[in-house]
Amino acid sequence: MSTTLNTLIELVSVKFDKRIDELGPDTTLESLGVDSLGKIELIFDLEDHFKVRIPNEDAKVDTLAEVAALLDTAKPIN
Amino acid sequence: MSIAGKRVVVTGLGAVSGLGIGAAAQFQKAVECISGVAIFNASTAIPVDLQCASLIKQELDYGLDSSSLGMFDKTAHLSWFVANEALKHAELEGLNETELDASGIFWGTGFGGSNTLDNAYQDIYLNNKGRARPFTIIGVMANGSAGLLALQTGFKGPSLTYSTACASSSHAIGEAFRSIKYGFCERAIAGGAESLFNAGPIKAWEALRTLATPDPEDLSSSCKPFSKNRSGFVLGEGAAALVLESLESAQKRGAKILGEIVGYGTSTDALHITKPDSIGQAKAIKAALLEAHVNPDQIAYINAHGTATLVGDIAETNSIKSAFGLNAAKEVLISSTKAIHGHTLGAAGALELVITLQALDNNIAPGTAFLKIADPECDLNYLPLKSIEKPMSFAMSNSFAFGGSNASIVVAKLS
Repeated sequence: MSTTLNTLIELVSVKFDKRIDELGPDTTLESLGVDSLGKIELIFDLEDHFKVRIPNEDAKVDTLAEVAALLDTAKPIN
Repeated sequence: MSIAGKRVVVTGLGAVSGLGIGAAAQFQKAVECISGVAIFNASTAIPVDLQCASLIKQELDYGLDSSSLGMFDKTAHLSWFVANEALKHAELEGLNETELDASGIFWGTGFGGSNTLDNAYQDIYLNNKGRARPFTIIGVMANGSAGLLALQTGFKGPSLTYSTACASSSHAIGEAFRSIKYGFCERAIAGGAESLFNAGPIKAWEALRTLATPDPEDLSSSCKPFSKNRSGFVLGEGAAALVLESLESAQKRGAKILGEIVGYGTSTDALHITKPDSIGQAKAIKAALLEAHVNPDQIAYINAHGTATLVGDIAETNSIKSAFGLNAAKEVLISSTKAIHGHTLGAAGALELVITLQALDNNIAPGTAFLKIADPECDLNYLPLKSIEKPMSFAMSNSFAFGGSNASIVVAKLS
């Protein structure tokens, strides 16, 4: 797994009170109870953590692998 | 439904303020004239001059999940806290879909999600973050509280928010009363909440010069309604809720009835944006009496708006004289409990009606704390310093707001 995905899983395990071995690349946000509003909040916090900005139109992700990929291709903030 | 409409009763109460937690605590402290006003030493983003306030002192368990706690403002959390108390008090549960469709939410707030807005401004202007958190809009919007109450209760009837400054929750309760009376819903949770102890709103209130000069001998006595040496109000934090339902609904489920709302009057001064007008206020009082079909001399107790501003207390004295006639005005017991719970603005009308209903039920009119020096221009029976026992059939609560928006509510023991 990529460094980003590992970090993401650690963050998600804390935020959603899950064990790390419960989470993987195919874990969906929906399975974590994240609805459309929750996704916005999660991405906001991830942007701050990874120091990137994700355009609104790119925020159509469902699995943790897709979120990690999005973060890897996101524009860094100065 | 007859032309006269349905009878509307109160079956649940909930409240929290600087006086403590729970509706009963508010009345108990009011009877004892014990103040919740204390030194203000909460941290704010920038320094403020505010020296005293009536803040909720306890850590509250809102019974909300982390998502709701993060998404909604403290004002909404407080709203649910008191609504939950009122619903439990009313033992209102297990409503079916048809009943939920006939259940409304009528809520009041002056500033709405003030804490969320202030936090967003801090992020943007002070902390140089360049953006606000995603749920800022949900926290700030005035109807955030009503939205949270809907999610928590499943009530699917009308969900309306009233923002008429210091009369917000009186209007919310009055409009809930009307909606049930005329068949637009069968039951409602009604009330209001306010929590604005952050730098922006505090600075704004300080600038308006309506806040009391802190009493150097006893900060808790800084607000002195109807007193010659009054100097303004003390800001308060709080929320209060009532469960209202049609008499048929309450009787059908065997609910304990705490009182009946029999009259609600509203009017607008249309004269000045902040200066109260006794003529406009008297119109609201008269309208409430007219709807209640009671004569002024039948009102045993008035919980006055009584903010302790120089002009406000005189205007209310005159409006009561005008609406009641001099003889009845001299007889009625009147007090302002703002002396002890502060001015809770959008929550004030609900909080004071919660106290008024208990005064009616217990036949005790709470006194006006800190009224030691009578003002000749406030020459009615303002119950200085002590509460009085008196048999009561009817009581009144007044709320007169900036914007010239007035509300008066008459409550009765169920006959």
